[in-house]
Amino acid sequence: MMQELIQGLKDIVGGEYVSTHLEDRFFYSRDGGTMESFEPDVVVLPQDSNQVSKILSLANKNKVPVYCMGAGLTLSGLHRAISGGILIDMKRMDKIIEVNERSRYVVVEAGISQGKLQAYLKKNYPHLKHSMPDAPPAATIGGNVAIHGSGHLSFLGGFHSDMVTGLEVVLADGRIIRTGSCSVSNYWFAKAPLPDLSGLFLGWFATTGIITKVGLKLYPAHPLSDVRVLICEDPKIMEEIIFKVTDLNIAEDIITWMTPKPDWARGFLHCNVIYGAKTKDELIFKRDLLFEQVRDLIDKKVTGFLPLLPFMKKRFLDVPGKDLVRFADVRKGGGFEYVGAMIPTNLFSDAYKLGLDIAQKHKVAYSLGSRIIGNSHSMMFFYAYAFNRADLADVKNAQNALYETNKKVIDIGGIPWKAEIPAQKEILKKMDKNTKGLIFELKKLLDPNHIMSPGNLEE
Amino acid sequence: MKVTDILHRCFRCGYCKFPSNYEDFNCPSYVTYRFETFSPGGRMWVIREWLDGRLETSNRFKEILYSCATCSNCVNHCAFPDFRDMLLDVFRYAKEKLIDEGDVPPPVRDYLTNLYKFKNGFGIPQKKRFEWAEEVEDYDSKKHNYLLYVGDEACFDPVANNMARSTVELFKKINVPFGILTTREISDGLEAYNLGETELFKEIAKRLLEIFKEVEAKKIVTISPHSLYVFKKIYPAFFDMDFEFYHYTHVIRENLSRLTNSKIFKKISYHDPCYLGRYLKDYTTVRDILSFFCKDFLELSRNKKNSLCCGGGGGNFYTALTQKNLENSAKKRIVEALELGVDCLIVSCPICLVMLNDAKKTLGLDDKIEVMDVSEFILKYV
Amino acid sequence: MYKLNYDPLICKGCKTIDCLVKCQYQDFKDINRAREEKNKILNGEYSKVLDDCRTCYGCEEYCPNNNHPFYQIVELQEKLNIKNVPDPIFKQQLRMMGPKNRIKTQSLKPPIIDMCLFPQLIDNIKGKLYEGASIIWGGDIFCNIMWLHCANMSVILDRLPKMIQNIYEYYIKQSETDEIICFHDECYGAFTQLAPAYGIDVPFKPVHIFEYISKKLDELKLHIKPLNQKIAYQRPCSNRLCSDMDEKLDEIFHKIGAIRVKRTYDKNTPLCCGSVLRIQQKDREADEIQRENISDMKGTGARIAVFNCPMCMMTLGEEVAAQGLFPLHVSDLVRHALGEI
Ligand SMILES: Cc1cc2nc3c(=O)[nH]c(=O)nc-3n(C[C@H](O)[C@H](O)[C@H](O)COP(=O)(O)OP(=O)(O)OC[C@H]3O[C@@H](n4cnc5c(N)ncnc54)[C@H](O)[C@@H]3O)c2cc1C
Ligand code: SF4
Ligand code: SF4
Ligand code: SF4
Ligand code: SF4
Repeated sequence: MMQELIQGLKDIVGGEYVSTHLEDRFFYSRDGGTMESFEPDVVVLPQDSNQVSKILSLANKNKVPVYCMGAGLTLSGLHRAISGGILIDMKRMDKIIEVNERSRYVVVEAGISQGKLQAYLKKNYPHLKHSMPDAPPAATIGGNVAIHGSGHLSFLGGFHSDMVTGLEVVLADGRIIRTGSCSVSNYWFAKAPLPDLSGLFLGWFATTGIITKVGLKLYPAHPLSDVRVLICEDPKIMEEIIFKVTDLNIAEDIITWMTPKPDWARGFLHCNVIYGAKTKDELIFKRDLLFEQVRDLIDKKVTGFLPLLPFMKKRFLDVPGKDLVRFADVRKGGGFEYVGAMIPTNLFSDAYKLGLDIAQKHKVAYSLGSRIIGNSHSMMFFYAYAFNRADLADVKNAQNALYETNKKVIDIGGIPWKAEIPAQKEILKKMDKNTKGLIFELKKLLDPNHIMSPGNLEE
Repeated sequence: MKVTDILHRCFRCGYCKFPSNYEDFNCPSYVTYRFETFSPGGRMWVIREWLDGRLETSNRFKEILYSCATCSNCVNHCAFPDFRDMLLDVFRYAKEKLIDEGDVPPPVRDYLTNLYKFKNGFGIPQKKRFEWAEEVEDYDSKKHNYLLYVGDEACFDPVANNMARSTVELFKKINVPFGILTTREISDGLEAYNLGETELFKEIAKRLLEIFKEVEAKKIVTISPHSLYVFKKIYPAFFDMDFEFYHYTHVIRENLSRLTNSKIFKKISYHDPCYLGRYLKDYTTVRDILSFFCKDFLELSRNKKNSLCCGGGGGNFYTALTQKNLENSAKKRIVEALELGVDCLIVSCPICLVMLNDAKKTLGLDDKIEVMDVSEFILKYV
Repeated sequence: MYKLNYDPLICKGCKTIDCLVKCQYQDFKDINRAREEKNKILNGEYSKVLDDCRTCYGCEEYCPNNNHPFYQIVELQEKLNIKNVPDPIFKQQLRMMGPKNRIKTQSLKPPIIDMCLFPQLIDNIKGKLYEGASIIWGGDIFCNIMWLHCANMSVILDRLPKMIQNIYEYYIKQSETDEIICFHDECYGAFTQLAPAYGIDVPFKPVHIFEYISKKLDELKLHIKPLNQKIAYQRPCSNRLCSDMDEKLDEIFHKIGAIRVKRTYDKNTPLCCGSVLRIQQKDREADEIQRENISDMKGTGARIAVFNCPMCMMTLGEEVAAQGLFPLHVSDLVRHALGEI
């Protein structure tokens, strides 16, 4: 049967884009995080929605599991083929289909990299941009919205899934459907006013369908930008800073960072406020507004803006920023993984303390921080733990720290984001029963043969 | 740092397969195959598994290793400055091991056999090397300023040979006193080195250096940037030597004043070859020459250290592993040049010249754009 | 414990109160008010000067009696806990720039160029001017007098002597020279002005970069091609601890045919580059001062702005360039004259 299936796949996408080679199965079986390997039987690289549709029909007929990968950069191993079967690498589907300048949205194929879209807009629509995550630029738009990513415009626009204006999705049986305005009109401008079917595919770890096209909001790209970094020593004061800064609507992105390395940073809490402007005067005006917003704290000398020279600012203004990725080498060992926890902003101090406690308990190399989503409506608080991949005990230690962090996050009232399979189970354990029931029913409805990413969103 | 010390440090983040602005994939073998295993990070992970004995040598593995065009885009763009300079050493280390095992893909084996037997990768008897150059004088250190080292591709490949002929003609036109090794030139050995056959490389390099010494060469000019690189950077790691090396474009730039500055009204662009650009960091010589003649010089958006390799390096010119599938970087390059709206894409490397011309033909775009090297361009239009 | 060597009686009897009257950042046209505030300082009481001082080091130069008015201010600011920099910033900077205990014994060939903490301008140390030079830098030899800008003298008195000792123990002792060429005014000022003011021993011979260059230019006389360029010079705060060295700069300019244009903000009335004000969270004031400073530079018709202090250069360089002047370090200006650039 497998031979037939593979031939079927080759007929769909062409022989050179189907592989059962051990090398490929090995590489696609895991990611840069700590989760153990699960090999797919076959890796396939489709080029368009029709090919995806045919692949799913074929898999559905044969009841073979299908997993879906963008760049595989979640670090929580979400694309791993837990039950074997077919793994679809989406990255050949990387076309930019339409930019609607006036309505400020773009329609892309889901496998396009963040980097390619960024460069395309810079070159062709320099006054428009999309919200880039700080993931490496290979990360795909589809993979990122599918997991409720966030990024450089999340203070303005919320989660990246909130910026979705419509989707094209291939269902388990091969049907291609659309969500949002594009299901009625030629324009991909909004999810409203229709029943919001996008929600059936965002946050589901590819258990309900494979997203093949994404309509995404674009935002004004200002020619000038600046970053101001506030610093303090007390997480309670950081809470106040966040509240004050988010009360003022000038930022595009607000992130906090707390790291023990380099040594000078240990124990200090930093908050980067990034904003853009059309003119230098506007930039200064915004800076001064920001200053006024926290002036009382500055007068008390409990916070202040770091004096940054132009070359230092550049590092903070790079999109995507490379600092987090480089964290992978602090143990000289190519690995880190993070719990990204969605947490209400009022829990900042608790979230911070939790991270310090766990890092101390597990003696793990850590870096903490958060990105504010919306006007302080929530934040993605990250607990990144580095490990040396060549040292299995070190990997295990990081894994334990991550597991404990996930549990503690749920305890304080947050929810792990892009949760590893063990954390998915913890979330479901805590979830309202009826809600959970509905989720399982919907999964069953959309995927009666249980071929879509089995192992995910399961108790 | 040993290469095996960095294998596990790759984070498979994929920065290495992009140019600085991330506009598209910039690793030629990844562009062809599109499986992650053919990206630089993929290679790192697969090699580690193989060295640790968890993956056996297979045809796929060999293909993964040998389809690397050694373009060094990854070395320039990997996110980890602490070890990125060693990426290609890792790949070469694995290839050396494969050579030790005696287990390489057939086209690699064929190339190396040719090189061993014929002292060139084409497997053509050496006496045919300079059949095209009967008019060119044998190098005489008393008479000639430069020894022109032409190299395998420009001698034996008919398209690349145009480049050698034009260079010779142009040198004569601007009165550059030079000679060639009419009976003695052999391969420079770089591809043997890149393919992991270090012993053969050393043997060839040693012989070539002896020849350079015997003829009392001082200033050696190469047609291929690959030769220039191996002479300047790899030979000295193995041998004591004392020569000056130049690329033929350096000599042209030196002598620009001897050419009439007739303005050429062509829209042109330049494809930076990896070995002159990323490897030797020379991004200006050719641009100086071209802007001397042309007003309408347009940059490809992937230029200089972000140039998209033609796919011919690392022996792939001979093994064609980067050309295996329908998509490849050379075709992408031609399309990019067309989209830029230029009439002429200039190169300065015989391998690029052949690869890009081939791509142009396969795409059926022969009449839409010219691909030619600097000297051909000057001879034709100045 | 090191104690500031000054005589309050001299101040009490001072006729001019130059230290305050000449201050560019406070208005003491009325000498009586100046005397009132000075007396408060002398009595160890709060004076508004403690809040209004912008830490430009100027009064160290203005006082005709070498009575260290600025150090008096900094000591009192610290004593009365008058903070001009937010706590976390001060603490973080303190840690960032603290000793790293990584210094290793080295025998160095002269000239030994001391780049202080900052390696940013290491690239400038090349060419005939610096042939054969050994370069030293890092947290273990950082002069530390920048804390003068943060209302803190005790850190300086704690760290500076160790740094001086480090230079001596690790470098000078086994090297062929006892001369340390200070690339920055800060270090030179620390060794030759602040250290003696507190009785700190300096067991080597500090040489100012200007002295060094000027002397070197005599050797390189034949290579000099006079520049004939008008130069706007940004005199840094720390040069005010060693005013005589400003004259050395004139000597250099003379030798290379550079013309130091007359500007409102040079010589005895230079303007702060603004970086200090930014640490002190006074961005608007910094903007204004920078605007004033650069427009003054431009107004002179100079095409080149020359810096000696790396901090001034990093702070102002970009904006200076945006306004059409060419920012250059003194060393590079000289290298231009030597035909190396
Ligand atoms: C250094 C670093 C920094 C990061 N910073 C950020 C950040 O700032 N913001 C942020 O949001 N993330 C961040 N991430 C996390 C992650 O890399 C990104 O969210 C990334 O965009 C995920 O995209 P991907 O293509 O790698 O998805 P993958 O990992 O390939 O897939 C993610 C999930 O989505 C599913 N999926 C993928 N494609 C589709 C599709 N077309 N249809 C349906 N399901 C699909 C997969 O099955 C999987 O469950 C970071 C990661 C790293 C390593
Ligand atoms: S080689 Fe470097 S850039 Fe490429 S995946 Fe590995 S760590 Fe990332
Ligand atoms: S050298 Fe070029 S072809 Fe080889 S892995 Fe690196 S980027 Fe790819
Ligand atoms: S410090 Fe100097 S200028 Fe000021 S009062 Fe004392 S003696 Fe006079
Ligand atoms: S240091 Fe400067 S600002 Fe402060 S009192 Fe002295 S002259 Fe005035």
